[in-house]
Order: sequence, then C-alpha cells, then structure tokens
Amino acid sequence: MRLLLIEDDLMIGESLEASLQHAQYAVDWVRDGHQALLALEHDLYDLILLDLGLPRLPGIDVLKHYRQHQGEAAVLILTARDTPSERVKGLDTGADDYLVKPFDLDELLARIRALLRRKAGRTQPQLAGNGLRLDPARHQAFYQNQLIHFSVREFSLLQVLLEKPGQVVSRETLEGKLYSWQDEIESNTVEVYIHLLRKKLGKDFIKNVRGVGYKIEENA
Amino acid sequence: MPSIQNKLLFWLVLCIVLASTCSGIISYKKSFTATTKLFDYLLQEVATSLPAHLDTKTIYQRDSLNKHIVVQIWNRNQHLIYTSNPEWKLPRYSQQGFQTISAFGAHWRIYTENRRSNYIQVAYQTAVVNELATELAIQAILPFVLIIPLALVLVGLIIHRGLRPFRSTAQALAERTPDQLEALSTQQLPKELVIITQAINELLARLANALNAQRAFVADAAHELRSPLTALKLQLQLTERIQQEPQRSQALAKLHERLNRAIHLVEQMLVLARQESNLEPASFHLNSINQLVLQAVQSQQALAQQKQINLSAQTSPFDIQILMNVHSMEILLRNLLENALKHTPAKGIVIVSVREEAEVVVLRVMDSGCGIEAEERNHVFRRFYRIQHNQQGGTGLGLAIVKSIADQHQASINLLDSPLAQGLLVEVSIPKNINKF
Repeated sequence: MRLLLIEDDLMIGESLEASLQHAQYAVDWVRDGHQALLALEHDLYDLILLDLGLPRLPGIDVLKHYRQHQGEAAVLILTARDTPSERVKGLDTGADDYLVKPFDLDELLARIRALLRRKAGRTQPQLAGNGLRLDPARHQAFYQNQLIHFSVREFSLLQVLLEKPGQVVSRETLEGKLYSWQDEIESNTVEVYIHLLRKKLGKDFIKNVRGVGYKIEENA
Repeated sequence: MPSIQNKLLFWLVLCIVLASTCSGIISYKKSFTATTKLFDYLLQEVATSLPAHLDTKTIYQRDSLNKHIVVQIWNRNQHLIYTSNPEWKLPRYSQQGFQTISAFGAHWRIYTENRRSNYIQVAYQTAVVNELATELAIQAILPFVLIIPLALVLVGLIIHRGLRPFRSTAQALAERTPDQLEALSTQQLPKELVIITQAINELLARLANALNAQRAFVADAAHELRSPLTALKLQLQLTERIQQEPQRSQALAKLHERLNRAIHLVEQMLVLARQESNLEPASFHLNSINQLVLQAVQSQQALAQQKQINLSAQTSPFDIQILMNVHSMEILLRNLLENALKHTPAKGIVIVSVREEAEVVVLRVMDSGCGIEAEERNHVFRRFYRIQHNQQGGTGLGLAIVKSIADQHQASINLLDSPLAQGLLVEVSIPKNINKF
C-alpha cells in the first residue's frame, strides 16, 4: 500500500514517515501544497494523509483540487485545528476521515486500515482468497489455516493482489504500491518476490498473465 | 453624584421660590404704598365731608363699624366734642396734615385739619393697610406656588423623556457581549449623547480588535502547542515499537529532540506572555550596553564553537549606560544571537556591534547565513510566523519576543542585508533617553 504524507512540520513528518514505514507502508512525504499537487498528478496512492496548515497552498485547497481532478484515493486529514466547523469543511470538501493532533499512532493506523478496506469495497478487516488469509492489523498470514511468515514486501505484494481477487494487477502497479520514491527499485524485484511467494505457497498460487500482470484466484 | 433629574428639579424649585418671594415682596411694597395713598385720600375726604358747624359742649359718641378707624373733633376750647370710637382716646396732634404716630401699642396714620376753630382728626391703624397689602402680596405669590407642583411634574416628565436615549443606549451596551461588539447606533440620539456614543463605539472597536487578536493567538497557540506534542507522542509510540539497536537509540535521540522542542516552545510562550503583560517601570535601570553585549556573546560561544562559527563582539570605545530592563535586553540579544547562529552555516561569521549615535545606541547583529527575503521581512515579527522553507523548525516566537522587548524600550528594529555574504543584519536602535513609562 502506498501512502502520500503531506505535512510541513519536520518533526511530525519524520516521526510519521518512520511509523508508517514501520507499519509496512510505502510512504512518500511532501512538505508543502505545491509539492503535494505535483505528487498527486500521478494517481498512484491508496491513501493520502493531509495536514491542513501547509505553506504555499492550504491543505483544503490541495484536497479541493485533487477531488476536482477525479482523485480517488482515501484522504485522512491530520490537523491541529479542531473546531467542528473546520471538521465539517474538511469532510465536505472530500476528506474521508479527520484526526486531530495530537493523535494516537495505533488509532491512526487503525483508521488507515479501515479507510483502505472501505476504499477496496470490503467490510471484513481481513483479506482472503485462494485459501490464503491476511490480517493487515497484526501483519499475520494464514495459508490453509497455517500461520506463515512473510517478509514485509512479500506481505505487501500479497495484500495488493488480494484486494481484488481474480483481477489482474500489472507489474507497474505492483511496483508503485510497494515502493516509495526513496526506495531503489531494481528492474526485476517484483519477479523476485513473486518467485519467493511461489516457493512458499506453491507454483500456481499466483498466476502470471503474460504481458498483463499477476493475479490470485478468488477460490481455487 | 445626585441624579441629573433631582439636581434639575432642585434648582428649578429654588428658582420658582426665589421668583415668587421677590414678586411677593415687590407686590407687598407696591400695594402698601398704593393703599396708604388711597387711605390718605379717604382720610382727607372724611375730614372734609364732616360738618364744620359742630358746636356741642358734650361728647357725642357713637360706635364705629370699624374699630381701627377713629374720627375725633375738638372745639376751640380744646374740648373733645365728638369721637367715633370712644375706645381709642387719641390725643390731639397740633401739626396739621398727614403723619404716622404710635399710640396704644400700634401705629396710626392720622390726618388733622383745623376748620372754623374746630380740630378734626381722622386716624386709622396702619395694621389695616398691612393686612390689605399682605393679602395682595399673597395673591401675587399664589400663582407661583400653584406652579411649583405643576412644574415638578412637567419637568420630571420632560427629563424622563429626555433621558430615554440614555436608557436605550445603556441597554444596548448591556446587550453587547465579547462575541458581539458591533457599534452602537447614533441615529435618533440627542447631540449630547452622540459624542459619548461615538467615544464608546471607538472603545468597542478597539476592544473587538484586542479580543480578535487574543482569539487568533489562542487558536495559533493551540495549533503550535499541538504540533510538538504530536511529534513527541508519535516518536514515543514509534520508539516503543522498535526493538533492535541501533534504531532504538536513534529513535530515543529523536524523542529527546522533540521533547526539547516542546519545552523550548513552552518557554518562549511564557517569555512572550510575561513580556507582553507590561512590566512596571521599577524594573528599568541604568546598565552598560557593552557589558550586556559581551555577556551575551560569551554565553553563546559554546554553541558557536560547535558549528565552528566565528562569533565576535565589537563594543563601543566608551561605556554607554542606558536605561533598560536588563533581563529583557538579555533575552533580546540571546534570541537574535541564537537566530544568527542557527541560520549561519558551519564556519560562518556572526558579529555583534555597538555604536553610539546622537540620539540612539545602535546594536547590530550580522551573520553570514541565508538571510531573509525582502518580502518576508515585514512578517517575521508576527507570532508563530515561520520563514518559508525554513528547515530549522523554530517556534516562530523568537522575533516576536524581540519586537515586544524593543517596543518596551521604544527601540526600532531594521532588518537589512548583511555585509557578510547574503546574511542578515539586524539593527536595533535604542533611544538613550526613554521618554516615559
């Protein structure tokens, strides 16, 4: 899952970025409204964490612009402004949730998971398909009811594929969801992780649709 | 203060009483003179109309209708031959014509005439005239006395009506709350009240401004306090999750950093709050500006050495004593020096200088840092304002505190280009004689 963090405060941004990375998200961090608009030009984020008090362009204008240009990602506003009118304004402009600073990291992560779930059209907190069950909150995976350990990237890759079981996901999309700007992507990394996953889950678990991408069947 | 209404009524009644008294006195005097003249004329008429050939040797007496009037006739032998009122045996007064005399404990007006060897004397008690004059005077006063209650009621009504705008203005004022401080309407108000209302409106406007500034500050402060606390809490929770070294130590170090930032912000807010809650003049003393600068430079030397910055002071050749609040001025210099050191890259230069001019002492802090863009120089003294793309993460209060202290000392601050690289030159001109506190 790839997140965009829009936060001008250096220390908050630093701690948030580290916390989100620790929770296995690919995070890009921008510090002002203009950078945010640039980053949002390519709609590759699953969720946007937006601070309202931004230099150069207020957060609410970034949100307005993003929604006007058919941005689909879930938007979670993180702000120190807590009056009801500001919450209403934020939500009415197109935000999906609102969290007032200072917030609890666990709550933030739970809200991110809920938003991602809702965005994928699921109500169940766990992802399942083809005998594999993922619990994103605990970062645990069960294959045929057996607990299996996956690395961070492996888990993320499975999560993306299980968001829409049966649908083909392109290699580029997988890359986009897995890596932030600062990560160095080697040309064949997605293939490497697919290879590792197949070793653990069996050769046919992830299907390769030649020239298009990869998919996991809903039910084998 | 007694009420305007009572005061007006008191003076009005006093005026009416004085006017009626004067009118009574004048009326009494005039009626007295007029009545006396009339009575004199009557006395003469009575005397003249008496038969002149009365020639009796016995006293002819009859009871008068009026006990205060006496008609007496004496014959040539000075024998009283007639009296209209035997009760009053007035002596015969030889002087002819009118005169006023005293007899039997009363004043009398008499008229004496000598006709054909008979003496005719007609007299009346002046008390009669007095009574008449008093009666007339009372009649003159009466309308005034009757007017008093009427005037009281009328004036009371007029004043009550006249003061109605005061009551409506007072009510309008009572309805004002800190959230609703709109100006009072001056329409349909008497001229006298318009002046007061306009003054009140100006006060309301100033109050609204001050309250708005206060609200803005509270909102800003809430935001500014939450940011370091957010960073602190996030970092704490992140640190809890990290098990391995050296990531854990690094996370702990960052935790300290965030805690220090929160502490620094609280300290700066307290300094600003204390600074802005006017200090009493007693805290101003004469102090050496050179000494102040040297001490400030010394206390920042460690920080400068850490960044290998050449921090030096150029003091004035003469020791200048200035009336100042030493503690505030120390904070001013410390903030300016900390800013300079923070924004100057390693191996840079920071110079503090003192120069004496005719009216002022000029303190200069110049650095070889990144400077402040011209268009931002007007904003940097605002509370919580941070320079765009400032990566240093200050509280945004340092220069607001500097400005507040400068204002307290009636000093002016200028932000100029530093002669060292593109850095900043802060010039504080402190008047040698502060006018007033």
